[in-house]
Amino acid sequence: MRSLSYFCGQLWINVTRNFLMSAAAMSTAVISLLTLGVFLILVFNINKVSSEITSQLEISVFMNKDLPNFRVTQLVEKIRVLPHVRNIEYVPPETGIKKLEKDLKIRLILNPRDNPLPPKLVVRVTEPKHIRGTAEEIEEMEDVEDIIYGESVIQKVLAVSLAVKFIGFALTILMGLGTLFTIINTIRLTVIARRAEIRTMQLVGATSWFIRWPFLLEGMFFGMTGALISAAILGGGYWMAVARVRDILPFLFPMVDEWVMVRVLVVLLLLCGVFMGIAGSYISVTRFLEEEA
Amino acid sequence: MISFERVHLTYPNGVRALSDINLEFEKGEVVFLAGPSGCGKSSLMKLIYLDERPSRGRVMVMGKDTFDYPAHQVPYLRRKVGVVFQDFKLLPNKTVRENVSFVLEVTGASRYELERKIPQVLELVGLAGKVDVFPGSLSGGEVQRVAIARAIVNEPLILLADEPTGNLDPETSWDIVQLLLRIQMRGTTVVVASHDMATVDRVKKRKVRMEGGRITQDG
Repeated sequence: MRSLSYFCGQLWINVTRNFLMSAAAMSTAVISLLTLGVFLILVFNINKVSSEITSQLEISVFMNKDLPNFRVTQLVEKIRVLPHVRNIEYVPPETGIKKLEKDLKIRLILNPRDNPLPPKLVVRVTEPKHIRGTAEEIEEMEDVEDIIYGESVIQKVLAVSLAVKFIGFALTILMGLGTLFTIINTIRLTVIARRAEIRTMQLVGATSWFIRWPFLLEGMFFGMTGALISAAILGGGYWMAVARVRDILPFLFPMVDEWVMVRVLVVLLLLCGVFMGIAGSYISVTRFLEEEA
Repeated sequence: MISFERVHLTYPNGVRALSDINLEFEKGEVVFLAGPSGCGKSSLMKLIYLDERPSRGRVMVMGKDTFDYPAHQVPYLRRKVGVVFQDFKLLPNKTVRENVSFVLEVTGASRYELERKIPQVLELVGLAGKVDVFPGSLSGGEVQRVAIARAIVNEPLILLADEPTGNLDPETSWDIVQLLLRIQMRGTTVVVASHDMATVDRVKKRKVRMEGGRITQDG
């Protein structure tokens, strides 16, 4: 307990009395974590957009124009029991033509009896990878006239989505390592600046761990403070960006929810900052102690 | 308390610092190592606080061969050996009190011990009024006293003082020597290295003269 209060006291003394060095270390932590944070925001949002696109993939099932209602209901029930079916939407011909007219912004028919569109079922599956198998099963069913699910588009979307996830993961690891090395080198400078102090500590009988602890706490402090400052800057910026995008695209909202993103930023940046601060201090001090031993 | 048996020390750069040293320091004894700069006094002291290990021969400290101290035990030996370094090694960003208390903190001393020992030791070295001053604001003699206070606060069995009177005027030098003798009176083995022959000759204690890494006179 005595040592803990001593180490905490030393942390405060070292940070305040070596203010310029501490400020440099903290600024480096902030800048490194800001870069990592921006990257995290991009990766999370690209993943969100990719998931949105894949989740909107659907199978259009066209039926005979004169199919009685009870047969439609039977078909819907048959499709509903298939594995991986998430939901089914019935689009009668009159709704279909209205949507088409709205999309094309022209009047296509005057009399409903002239409507050429067949009734349609829109089937959505739980995961995009199941769309092909489900479509093939539906195609075999009675009363199904035609089926469209854009196989080539789905394959491309799935490939792009997978690539985005993989590249995002790999780049996040690389960015994390870059941040780690930057923080290690900065903390190494603070250790070098205090090598005389470490040497004196060794000569008056301090154990290696007694020497390490204040530096580990300092590294943790720099990492934690850097993470909180970066999270505050990025969280605030993201909040404003989300509000702006909501104004511009109120119905088509492609961004990760601001609360979710802020929590992700705080947790991940804190974890990274604290881990990197401690690891940076440990590696720097241990290397120095080994040199002096 | 300390013995050197046919000790040689050669640094990795090839410089031979000590040759065939045979010495013995008794418990509670005070010994002055005298000789010109570079004669090996500091190297001899480094062998006692295990900053160096002999290239040949055997150094015994408190009844144990220094080679028998593994690296992780060295800090514990150093807590029993107080050292006044030639360059003081005071931490410039710590006050007098912090520089001294630091040695006690290292051993995990309680707050009570700190409160009791620090005023006592600062009183002993005559710095009771300078507890919150930083070393940069002290005179040469005062800095030397802080270094001595730090070396003895832990009540070491051995006190090594490397050139404690260097760069001090004769009067202050004599005060420092008297202070070291007072510490010896408490039962501490005191080894003082000095090139200040005038001060050394004034003290009627055992003197070991060194030259070129060898002992030329003992007694």
